[in-house]
Order: sequence, then structure tokens, then C-alpha cells
Amino acid sequence: MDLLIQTLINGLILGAGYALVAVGLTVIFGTLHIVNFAHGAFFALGAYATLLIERAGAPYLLAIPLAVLCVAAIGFALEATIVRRALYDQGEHGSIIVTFAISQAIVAAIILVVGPDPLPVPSPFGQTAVSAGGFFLSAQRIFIAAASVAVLAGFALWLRRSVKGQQILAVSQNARGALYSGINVPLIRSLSFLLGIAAAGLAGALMGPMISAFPTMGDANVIVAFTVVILGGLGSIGGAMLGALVIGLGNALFETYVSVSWTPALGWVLVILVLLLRPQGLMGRAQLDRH
Amino acid sequence: MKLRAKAALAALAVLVATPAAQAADPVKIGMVLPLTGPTAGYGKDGKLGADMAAAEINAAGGILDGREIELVYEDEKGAPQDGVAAVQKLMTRERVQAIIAGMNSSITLAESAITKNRILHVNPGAQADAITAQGSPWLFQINNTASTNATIFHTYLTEKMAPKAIAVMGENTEFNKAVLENLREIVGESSVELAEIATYDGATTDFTSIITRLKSTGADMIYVIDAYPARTAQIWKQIRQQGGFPMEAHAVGTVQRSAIVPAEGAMEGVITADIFIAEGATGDMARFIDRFTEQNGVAPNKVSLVVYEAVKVVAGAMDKAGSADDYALISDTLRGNVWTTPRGALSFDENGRAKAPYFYIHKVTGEDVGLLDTFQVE
Repeated sequence: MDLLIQTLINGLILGAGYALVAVGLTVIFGTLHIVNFAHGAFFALGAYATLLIERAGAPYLLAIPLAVLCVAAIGFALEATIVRRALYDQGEHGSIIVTFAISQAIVAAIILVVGPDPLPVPSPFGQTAVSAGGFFLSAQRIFIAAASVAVLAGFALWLRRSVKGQQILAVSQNARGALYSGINVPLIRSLSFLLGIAAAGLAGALMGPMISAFPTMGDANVIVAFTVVILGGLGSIGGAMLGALVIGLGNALFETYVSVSWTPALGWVLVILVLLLRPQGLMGRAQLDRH
Repeated sequence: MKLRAKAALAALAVLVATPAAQAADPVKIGMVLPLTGPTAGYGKDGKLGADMAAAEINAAGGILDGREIELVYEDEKGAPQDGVAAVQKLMTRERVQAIIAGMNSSITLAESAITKNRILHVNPGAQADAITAQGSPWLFQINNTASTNATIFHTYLTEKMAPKAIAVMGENTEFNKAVLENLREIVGESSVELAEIATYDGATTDFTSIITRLKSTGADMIYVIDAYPARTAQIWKQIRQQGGFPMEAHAVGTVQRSAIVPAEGAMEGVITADIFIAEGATGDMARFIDRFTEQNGVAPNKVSLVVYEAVKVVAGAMDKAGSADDYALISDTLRGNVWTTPRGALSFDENGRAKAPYFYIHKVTGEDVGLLDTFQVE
């Protein structure tokens, strides 16, 4: 029973981390129809920005928002110079090539500027583990889970209640209809891209202390994020959260009770099953509704 | 008449110039290292060692009557397909005369399929026995094989540390396979129980549940087999966050500062081993460490050392054989001679395997490893 409880706790906390990485991916896809292969690179930028700001003297908790701003600024520059010109309304295939190239350029730049070695990202939570009733919980993981839930809940609320949030939802549902309704679609697209990139940066800033900063740190995480968003339904924010929870809990339970070796396949098996039974994903809208 | 004189002069110039040009042509050695990707730190360390070796050889007058060594680098990015592409490019486009490639066993195996019977290939760092078990006549290995290293280390773990039960976790790789095979053998001959083996995929991003599972077995030793510095740091942080194990060990030859530093103290006290340690070095090794530190501003590690030795051994064998491309002759020369390296005398057996004279048991202390015990390799 203790093992099951510890495993469920592991899974829930893991899922919260996955959700944060996945939500940025799904916002960008939902609004812009861009499959962002550079998401992992922005995740890495978030960790490196946090590290460099901390080295400049800022404490970790202040470094996080500053790092997110830095990543958003880089995202803004790339959006204005490359993404806006090359990708909007150009279909999903071009986006794979362009964002992959951006990803490679960012990783190369990190190696050039900071070097290839993994670097520790200091956090006040450090290696501290909270032990309660025989269960171990990493303080950094609790912080990540709490921050993820707060940020995602705030984001979901903002989407539903604010005008800009409603406009993002409108553009993601029907860009042409939104344009005819007087919504500034180019502005909303830029805003969505920035929000997605900022979410990747935030995930990197939060998870950096756990996994260290290294140039390709985003690669494996973004692969999981893709399974999460496909499972939840591409473009659906609620779906990304649900998918993250399913994958997080599924992985933890499978690793503990079935097989560690087969766990990476589990996410994709779930994706295939869901796509067979519900092609739009758990919470995605059917393709016909989107256009 | 005038035309004839010009032609004769041109012919004479060619005759005179050719040997000089040949003598001046550098001997190109292809260096395949992970310059980017998850093990890029190894590439950086290896490049420092290779550059230092080439500079020393060239400063001493080069090889084969004054020809300089030119190192041509290609990036294997920590992936077999990129390793193969790098080797192919060096062989076909750069026309190198030897390949030095091998940091990761799975990648080296893929690369050796391309170099087999085509070019001299020296593997500086990868350990899996399968690499040199292929019977490739022109393939040589500087590092000990995984089984040589693992036999000494696993005997130390089971006899000296003597846990009741060992729980193992490691990435599913060729290196892991060789180490596990040896561990099963050594544990089978002892009273130690192998509680659980958890083999994970390279794409695994979290190890908490694996550690939870291993802790639930009641094992009193955790043994991690992973060669990737960032992942090594992450695993040990997560082990520490779950309260750790009474005894903790990490696979031979895979613990460098690039893993210890980002682990932020989580690896303190972990037992590991390698063919190199800076602590207490004397003689040629001490001089190598001093020179390296002076030139690069950082102390060398095992990776810098084995790549340095690989360049020196290749150049030395070509020079002694009197050829840069008669691979049968160079290979015979490599096998038939003893090579002086910072570690001491190095010789190659029929399979092209070198054996380090000494083997050291390490304990992670602060941001580096400390010497715990020394063994002479038989």
C-alpha cells in the first residue's frame, strides 16, 4: 500500500511537470497550427537564463520570472523575424523544418556561449526531501507541482475571463471567423507564440535544478510533451493537462508494477489507442470543426 | 628550342618538388568526438587531449621524416547514425589516414562496421567487449574492456563492500549489457543477491518511480550504470531525495567532474573506479598532468588522457612502421611493440585490446574523486 501511495504521489507530481511543458506546445499549435520543434530549445533557454541571472546575484525565486521574460524576449525576436514571415498560414509541414532549424541554432548558440557541460542550477530547495509517514517528496518537485498548478489554473482562468484570452480561443477555433469579427488576428498569433515560448521557458526554469542545465536538456522532455498533447488533443489546453496527468500516473504505475524497460512505449501505445478510438485526442475538437 | 628548355625545366621542377611536397604533406587523422549532444563534455575534454598530443608530435619534428600530424574533427553528436556519417565523411571527403573514434560503445560498434578492413581505427574510450570481439584486424582499443574493468570492480563491490542485495539501474546500451553480464557472473559466485535490475530507455526523463521500485526491494546497495553526465547527476539527485541507500556505486569509467559538479553534492561518497586518477600521480603521469593543466588551465580527466594516448600511439606506430597507410604493417607494429604512455607501458593483444597497468577504486569526494584502492591489472 505504501508503495502504491508513493507511486501515485510520484505520478501526480510528474504529471504536473509534464503539463507545464506541454501546455506551451499546445497553445502554439492550437492558435498557429505550428508544430514547434524548438520547444525543447526554449525549455533549455529557460534553465540557462535562470542560471545566468542567479550567477549575476539574483535569488532563484526572482530569477524565474526574469528568465521567463528573457526567453519571451528571444521568442519575440524570432517570431518577428522568422516565424511570422515564414510560417503563419503556411501549413504544418514547413513549421517542422523551420522550428527544427531554430532549435538547432539555439542549441549551437548555447554550446558556443556557455559550453557543453551540464551545469547545476541552484535552488533554495536543493536536494531537500520532505519525509512524511515514510513517504519521500522532493521539495523542488513540490514547488514545481505547486507552481504548475497555480500557473496553469491562472492561465486557464485568464483564457476564459479576459478579452485577450477569449480572442486567443476564438482564433484557435476559427482564425478567419475571428478576423471577420474584428479580432486583430496577427496580434493574437504573436501573443500566443510568446505565451507558448514563455511556458517552455518557465518549465525550464522550474525543472533546471532537478535535471541540470545542458544544451540538449529539452529533447527528451519535449518528446514526452508531444505524447501528452497528442493524447490530450492537439491544441486543447485542458487536454494537455489531462494528458499530462494520464502519462505521469501511467508512467509511474507502469515503472513500479510492470516494466521499466517498456515504460517509454506506454505513452505512445496510449496515444495510438486514443487516436484509434477518438482521433481528435481526449479533449480535442474534431478536425471538421476547426476550419 | 625555347619550348623544350621550358618543358625540361618544368619536369625538373616537378622531380625536385615532389619529394619535398610529400615530405611536407601532413598525415591526416580523423577525430570523431561528441562535440555537441548530451555527451559533448567528453568531446571537449577529448579534443584538449588530442590537440596537445598533436602539438607535441609536431613540435618534435612530426613523423615519417618530418610530416606533421593534422587532426580533422567531426561531430558524432552522441548518436550512432551521426557517428557513422562522421566516419564516412572523414574517409571519403577528407581522405584521412586513420580514424580515432570511440566514446560510447553503441556508437563505436556502428562506426567500426564502416572502418572494418578499410582503415586503421583506434577506439580511445568505449569499453564494450563486443567492439574488439568482432575480429577486425585494424581496430585497436586504448581503454580496458568493460569485462576487464567490471571484473575488478564487481569483485571489489561483492567482496570488500559485501552488501546483502544489490539493486541495479542503467540505460539500455551495449556498455550496460556487457557490465550486467559480468555482474551476474560475479554475483553468482558470491553470497550477494541481485535484488532487481531496472533497465531504462535513453529518453527517460524521470527516475523517481524506478528508485521507488528499487527501494521497495530492500536492497542495501544501489548500483547505477550510466555514462551520460547530465543524467548521472539527475539520477543521483533523485536517489538522494528518496533517502539514498546504505551503499552506493556507479559504473566504472563513467564518473567525471562533468557529472559530479551538476549533482550538487548528491554523489558524495559514491564508489566508482577508473583507469586514471590524478591524485598521487608520479613520473610520466604527473608530468602529463602538469603540462596539460598549464596549457589548458584545467586538469585532465580520463577522457583527455585516453584520446591523448590514442593520437600518440597512432603517430608512433605509423612512424615506426614507416608508412601512414599500410594498415597491415601499422597493425603488426602496434601489436609487436610496447608503447610508453603517461599510464606506463601499453601493449595490445591479438584482438587489439590494451590493458592499463593500474586500476583505481574511487570515492566521490567534493567536486572530484578520491583514491580508495589501487589494483594491478593482470
